[in-house]
Amino acid sequence: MELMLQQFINAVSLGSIYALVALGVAIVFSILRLANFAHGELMTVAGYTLYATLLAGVHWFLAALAAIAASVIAALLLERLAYRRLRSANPLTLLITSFAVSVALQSLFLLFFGARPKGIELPAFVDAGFRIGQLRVQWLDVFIIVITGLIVLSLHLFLKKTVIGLALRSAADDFRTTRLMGIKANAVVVGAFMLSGALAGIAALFYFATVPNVVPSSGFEPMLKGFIACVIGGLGSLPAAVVGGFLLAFLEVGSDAILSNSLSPYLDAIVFGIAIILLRWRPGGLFGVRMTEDLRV
Amino acid sequence: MSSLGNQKDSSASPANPAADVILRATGLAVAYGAVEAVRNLDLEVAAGEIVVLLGANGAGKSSMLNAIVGLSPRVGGSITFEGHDITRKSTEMIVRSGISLVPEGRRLFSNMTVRENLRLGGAALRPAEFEREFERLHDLFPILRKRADSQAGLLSGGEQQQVAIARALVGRPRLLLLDEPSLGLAPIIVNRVFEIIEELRRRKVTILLVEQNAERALKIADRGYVMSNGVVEAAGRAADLQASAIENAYLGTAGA
Amino acid sequence: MAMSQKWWLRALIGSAQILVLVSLLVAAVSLLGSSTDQRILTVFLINLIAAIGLQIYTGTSGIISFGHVGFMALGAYGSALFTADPAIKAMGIPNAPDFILTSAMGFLPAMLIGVGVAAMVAAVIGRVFVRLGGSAAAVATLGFMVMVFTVLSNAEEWTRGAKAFSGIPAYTTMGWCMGAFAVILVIARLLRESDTGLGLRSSRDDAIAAQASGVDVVNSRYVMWVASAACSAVAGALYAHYIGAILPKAFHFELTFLVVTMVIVGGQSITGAIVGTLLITILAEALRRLENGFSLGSFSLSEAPGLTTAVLALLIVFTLTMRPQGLVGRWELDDLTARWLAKRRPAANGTALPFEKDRERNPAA
Repeated sequence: MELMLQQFINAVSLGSIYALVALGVAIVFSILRLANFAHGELMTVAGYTLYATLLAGVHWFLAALAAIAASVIAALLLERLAYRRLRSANPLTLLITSFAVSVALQSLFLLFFGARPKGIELPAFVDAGFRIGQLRVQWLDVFIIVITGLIVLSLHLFLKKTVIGLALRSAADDFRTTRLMGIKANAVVVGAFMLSGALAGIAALFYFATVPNVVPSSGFEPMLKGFIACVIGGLGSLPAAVVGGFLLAFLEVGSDAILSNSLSPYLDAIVFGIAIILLRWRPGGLFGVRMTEDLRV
Repeated sequence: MSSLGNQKDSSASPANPAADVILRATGLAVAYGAVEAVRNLDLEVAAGEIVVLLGANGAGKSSMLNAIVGLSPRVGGSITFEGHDITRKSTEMIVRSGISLVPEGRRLFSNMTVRENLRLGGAALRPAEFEREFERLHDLFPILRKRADSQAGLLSGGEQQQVAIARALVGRPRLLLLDEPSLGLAPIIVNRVFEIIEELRRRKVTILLVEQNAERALKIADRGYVMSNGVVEAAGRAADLQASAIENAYLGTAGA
Repeated sequence: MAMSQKWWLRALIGSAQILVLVSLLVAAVSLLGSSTDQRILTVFLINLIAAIGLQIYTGTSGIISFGHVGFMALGAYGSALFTADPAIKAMGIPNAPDFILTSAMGFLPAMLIGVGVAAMVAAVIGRVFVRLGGSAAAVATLGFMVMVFTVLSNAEEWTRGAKAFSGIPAYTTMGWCMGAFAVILVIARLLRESDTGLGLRSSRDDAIAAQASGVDVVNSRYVMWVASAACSAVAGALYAHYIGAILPKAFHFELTFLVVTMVIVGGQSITGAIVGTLLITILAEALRRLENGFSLGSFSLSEAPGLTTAVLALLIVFTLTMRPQGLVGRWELDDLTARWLAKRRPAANGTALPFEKDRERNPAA
């Protein structure tokens, strides 16, 4: 029973990180139909910022804010320098461009920081926890889960109650008509990238708190998981991204618990395999989001 | 209203020349790549007028409306609104300057509620201002009260058309562009749409209307332009158009 | 009047033209080039096969795959496992099954095993993947690449895991490369010009419309997917037997990027894949040389490991902004030569010009 509960907490905590990454990916995708593979590198930027500021002795709270700010700035730069000129390009070109941007950023990280992992000096409270009977709960997990809950809730309210939020939703539905409402196209796109950057930054904080070192390719794995979460949920829908993130985490933790030790190194492969089976069953994702890009078969 | 000429060159002018013309397109040309949709078109709309654009499918009417708000690629000519040149302005700036388009097919944000749709229509308004405008529209569109929190995509075609018009009005535009508001609606609903337009006319809303239903449109319009293959074939007072030119230009092309 | 050629004739003529050009290049480098040049050429030919392999799917369906490097890895490991010296295997992977430990096959049968494994895997997952388009396909195929990587990195009994699997016989010669290239080029062009290929290409812009007009989009994609995976595996096998030692990391993000780039920068045709591969190979080589013999003040570029890739990636973004359809678009070499011939030699004798039924015609005048 304790073990089950322990696994449950692990899954929710992991799912929170995936959900945040998936949300960041989905916001940009829903509006621009752009799969931003460089989303992982936004997280890496946050990781290096966290490493550098903590190394310099900055208080962890300020370091966290700096990391989020770095992600947001990086996201805005990406939009301005790489994606804006390609806004009307065909989807394949966009896809390759975002892939190339991701590769270029990884290479730049390699150039500036080298291939060796940079250890992040986490504050002590990250390892602290408490016990309920046999169950040991880390404060970090509680923190991740609560903050993610708050973020999802405030994002929901933001998208429901504010004009900018409504504009983000309507632009995802019909960009042209959104402009007919007098809403600036650039404002919507920049807003989406800001949100996406902020989500990447927060997800990076949680991710690097659990994996406390950063290498040039650090962002790749969480980015891929976030994207897969989006695809299983239904690419382009925000609620689907959140559900997909938690589903992926539960699949991962669940498989890990069931699998024998000899199979657990294959965890990622097995989870992706299950995801592929899910897609066989519902090519449009669980929520069956309409695929404007391609035929639904 | 003073008399309007029936000749093509002079009839393009509204009642009181120059004084209260708010929209003026001069030599406007629209092209999608090599395909010319509108050629050398002159058009004027005066404050408080209802002007109707008639013509067969593909005559360039919708392209014209979209060109005014900057959604169609304008390749020549100029457009002024209330004396300001808006030819090179972006769609969002044109809309903010006081022109509102109800697009063909209504184009509501279907997975958002009626109220949310209207909120976007009044995106520039402060929350309190928006509430006031929203209330003000209730007597004209009772549906807004009944279905405020329904998902827009689930409404019937007629209801959606009303919401689309309300969405365009909530920002208090000084010129309303209506693109085929009766398209695809049952006759009884079409009546309701024309009632609304007549009510808007009583409230002195300036309207440029594109409509297939020429007879109905000319009944409520002050003036009309008949387009064919991207150019104006005839223009003049609604009553005069109804009597004569319409049969030749409009029906002639439509029958071809 | 221009008459349409038989589709297979068109494919063969097109392949022959390309083969002549590539053979000339190979002959020139073999006679005149240094051993470094010849090494670059061999790598170029292997990349060419990988790019054409991917282009068989992407060029016809319009869907990108980030997973083909996974098929290359399967081809590489498949072929390597069955050819390596049993004595070396006994040390490196003592716990592998007997049929691997004792096997000392020739190149061709071992390569075919690798290709067969890749084709089988492609056939199994293909049913899902061909139903995905655009970004969903990109994500899923990327996931597949990581899946293969994870399996190879952890199946230590078979592959030595993340460590290099060495002792692979150096079978890959220029002759093998040219032979494999010729075969795959012909297969690629045949598939492309066949009714299946033509129908699928018509679905690139609007899959739903193509389907409505009778193109069996899903099954056509499936055929291309499996064929394309098999050809990628050939490139993987050649690579393994050229380098002599392979590790899973070699078939990851960077190679994926390289191969995808070759295909996209070139254009949508087989010729495009070749042009793209040529361009990327030259660029990468030039950048590497710059890196070695170049320093800016105290900042020595030879100590800049990420620079080549970074510059390459930026160049690609730049090229795509300038030419979103790729360098040669959808044209094949034979289309271009046919047009050129038509311009130079007006059909004075009245015989048919080699024009194609679905392509632009230029009435001789």
